Amino acid sequence: MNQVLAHRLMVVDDSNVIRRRIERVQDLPNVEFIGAARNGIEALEMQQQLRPTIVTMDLTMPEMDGSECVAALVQRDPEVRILVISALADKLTAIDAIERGASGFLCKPFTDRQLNDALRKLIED
Amino acid sequence: MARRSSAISGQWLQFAATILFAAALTVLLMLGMRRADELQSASSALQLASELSSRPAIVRSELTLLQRGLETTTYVGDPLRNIAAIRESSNEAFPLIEQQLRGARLADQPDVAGPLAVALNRWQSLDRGLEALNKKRSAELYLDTNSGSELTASGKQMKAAVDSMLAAQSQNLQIMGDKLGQLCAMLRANVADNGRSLRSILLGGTGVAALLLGMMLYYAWRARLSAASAASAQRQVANILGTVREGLFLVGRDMRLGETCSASLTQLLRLPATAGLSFEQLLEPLVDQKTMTAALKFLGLLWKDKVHEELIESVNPLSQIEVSFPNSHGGTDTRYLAFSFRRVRGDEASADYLLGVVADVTDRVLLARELEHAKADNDSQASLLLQLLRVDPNQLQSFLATADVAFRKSNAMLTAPGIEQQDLKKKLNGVFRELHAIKGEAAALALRSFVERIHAIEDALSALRGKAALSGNDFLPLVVRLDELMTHVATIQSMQERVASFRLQGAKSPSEAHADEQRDTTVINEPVALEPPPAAPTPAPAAASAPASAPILELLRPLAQEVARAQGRAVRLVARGLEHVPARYSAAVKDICIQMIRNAVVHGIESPQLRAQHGKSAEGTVQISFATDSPEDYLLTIEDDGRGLSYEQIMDKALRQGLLRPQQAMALDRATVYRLIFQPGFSTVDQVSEHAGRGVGLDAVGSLVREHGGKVGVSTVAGQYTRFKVLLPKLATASAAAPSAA
Repeated sequence: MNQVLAHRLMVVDDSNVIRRRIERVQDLPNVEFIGAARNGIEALEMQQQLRPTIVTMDLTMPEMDGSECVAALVQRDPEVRILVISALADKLTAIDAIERGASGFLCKPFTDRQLNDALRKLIED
Repeated sequence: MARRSSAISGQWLQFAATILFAAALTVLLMLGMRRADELQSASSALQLASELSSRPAIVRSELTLLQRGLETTTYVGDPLRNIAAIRESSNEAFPLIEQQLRGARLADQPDVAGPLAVALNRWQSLDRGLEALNKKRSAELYLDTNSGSELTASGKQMKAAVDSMLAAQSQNLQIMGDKLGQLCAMLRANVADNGRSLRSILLGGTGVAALLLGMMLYYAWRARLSAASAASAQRQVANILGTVREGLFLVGRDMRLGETCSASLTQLLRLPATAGLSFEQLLEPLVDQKTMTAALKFLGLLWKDKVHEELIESVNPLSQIEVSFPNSHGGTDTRYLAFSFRRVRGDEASADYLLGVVADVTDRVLLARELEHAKADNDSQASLLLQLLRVDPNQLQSFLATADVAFRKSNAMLTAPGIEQQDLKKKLNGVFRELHAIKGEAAALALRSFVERIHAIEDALSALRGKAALSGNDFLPLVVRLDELMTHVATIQSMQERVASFRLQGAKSPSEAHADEQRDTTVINEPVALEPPPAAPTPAPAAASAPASAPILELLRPLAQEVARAQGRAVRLVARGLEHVPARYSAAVKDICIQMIRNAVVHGIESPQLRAQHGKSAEGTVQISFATDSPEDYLLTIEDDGRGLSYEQIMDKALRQGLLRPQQAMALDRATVYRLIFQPGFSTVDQVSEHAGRGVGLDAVGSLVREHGGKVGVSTVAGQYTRFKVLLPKLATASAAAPSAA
């Protein structure tokens, strides 16, 4: 069973609606939800304990913004794959986060299917 | 990858086979040459040996000739000379034969070397005898005597030597001849062998050469085939690139364009996309700096191995860009271009590039917009219909008639002659008043489509009011907008008719229709019932003579609520005696009330919080009463329990708007200052809303009252109330009184 659940998902978002929704909606057989952080600082603390392999990351959060958090997470674990989830007000901000080490971007608002598709692509190959 | 390696091994095989065949051919040729050399040497040796093999017989016959000559004492110079020549040539021939045998590599073979050595040995012994003969050549051989010639002593010695030589060397000569004959036979056999083997070698060489040639021809044919298929593939690629409608191009890691691109790229971007051009240069004429920065960063992301290209498609800043190109008419064409990029991975990282695809999506974008507009139109149609369904049909009918008259009047005003600044200002104010009144009525009926349209025109009018100098042309856009308003009236009219017919259809029986009618009547009377007038019961004749007055309250109540809601106020409307309004004042009273209620709610009634702070009830009250007590005039009173008029604010505003000069202001009493609010263009509210703030309201009330020969006055106590009193003459002197009032 541990073999199958190869991917450990951590959600980072200041909105608990989004956090709960991702936890509830994601239904990929080989992804295990391991925890959710409300901001960048919490995310970094949780990374040490939980060792996530994939992360969904909000961009605008209190304490430490998503872009910075992406850079910090990748610096600690270069293998971690991060999906940035944010409203697409400014493409440059999203591009910046990907430049700092994220692997993909999902635009808010998203459907359940879009989320699962994005996560599937995130863990493929 | 597999195809590629097989192609490589095929090439190697071809190369190796060519080398092998060429080497074999070279070896064969070298062998052949060596054989040919040996053959040549053996032939030479054979020739020499066969010449030499005839010498013993010649030597014997020369010696015999010499013997006879000596016997007959005839001349023997010739045989002697011949013998000397044979000696010389034979002595030369032996080393030559040896040399040629070495060349033919036969010198070490015993069956060749043996006979030669024997022959040489015999010759050497013969040669020594011949040499002795030769030495006696010069001596006198004959002596002439009387009896004839006879041999001298030397002659006798020579004859003895020749005789003994013929006897002694006969065997030698025999053996020498035999051995040389043996040698010749060996050499002949050798030459024949060599010839055969040379022929075989040549045959083999020819075969190998033929194979090599065949192979060469095969590879040449193959190369031609693959070149032809490559050329055809290239032609197909060129055809694709020439006809595909999308602009296709490649971008390398150095952000420069690759060698090939589709022909439509140039058409789409309207600039030549030459190889080696940087992507930035390609994009520069199309996008602003911010988009450019984002685009270059985005392309950078595509090179990152960790990035999933499908997951970043949505941040592509070039997914839809608007570009303007100059057209042939001197204007510009706006097109929408969509760029997308895919990473193409080569065999090694340095061979990677990005495949860019650009397409003209103008049609798609415009279609999407059209759909959006159509949807908005549908929505507005639906909301129009909804707003119509909410409004009482009779009221709507009366509103549409009033609005139509007002719009025509406004239109007439705008198009009337008069280009002086004064005339233009007057037109502007007149139109403002007309439209504002209609807007008030529309708001009361919650006809938002009218309110919004008129509000927009009022914005335009306000802008014109602010202009220092007006011109007739400034009014042109207004005329267009008014026209649109009139069309809207017609639209609503036709919708209203359809709705009415629908309602009629809905009424199945005459009794039901009658019930509907009755219900309408009930609706009309309802407000009166809701706010029961403390005054005497309605006299029947008055109600009958003023059928239009009854709906006034019906109109005013929703207006008050609508304005209160918009302004964040809580307002209660109390009305008395409106049912007594005579028909001829019905419209005027309605317009005045609409304006006054709006003013009262916007300017008078405070917010619930403020009212609470001042110890007032949260809900403000607007009271309207229409009194018929006075013999000369009807008295319409509109009173609110709000903050009252602010003397300072009015003064300040009047000064700022230039309605008053400072020195005038000092001289004015309060009553005069309060009357300023009836001046055109006066408003104390800075924020313009749909409901108030343009300063047209009281001005309109003033002129309306004057038109009917009436008077208007105001009394106020700060923080307590504002009360407007309007006197309208009971006698029909309006038209006569109006000019004098004006």
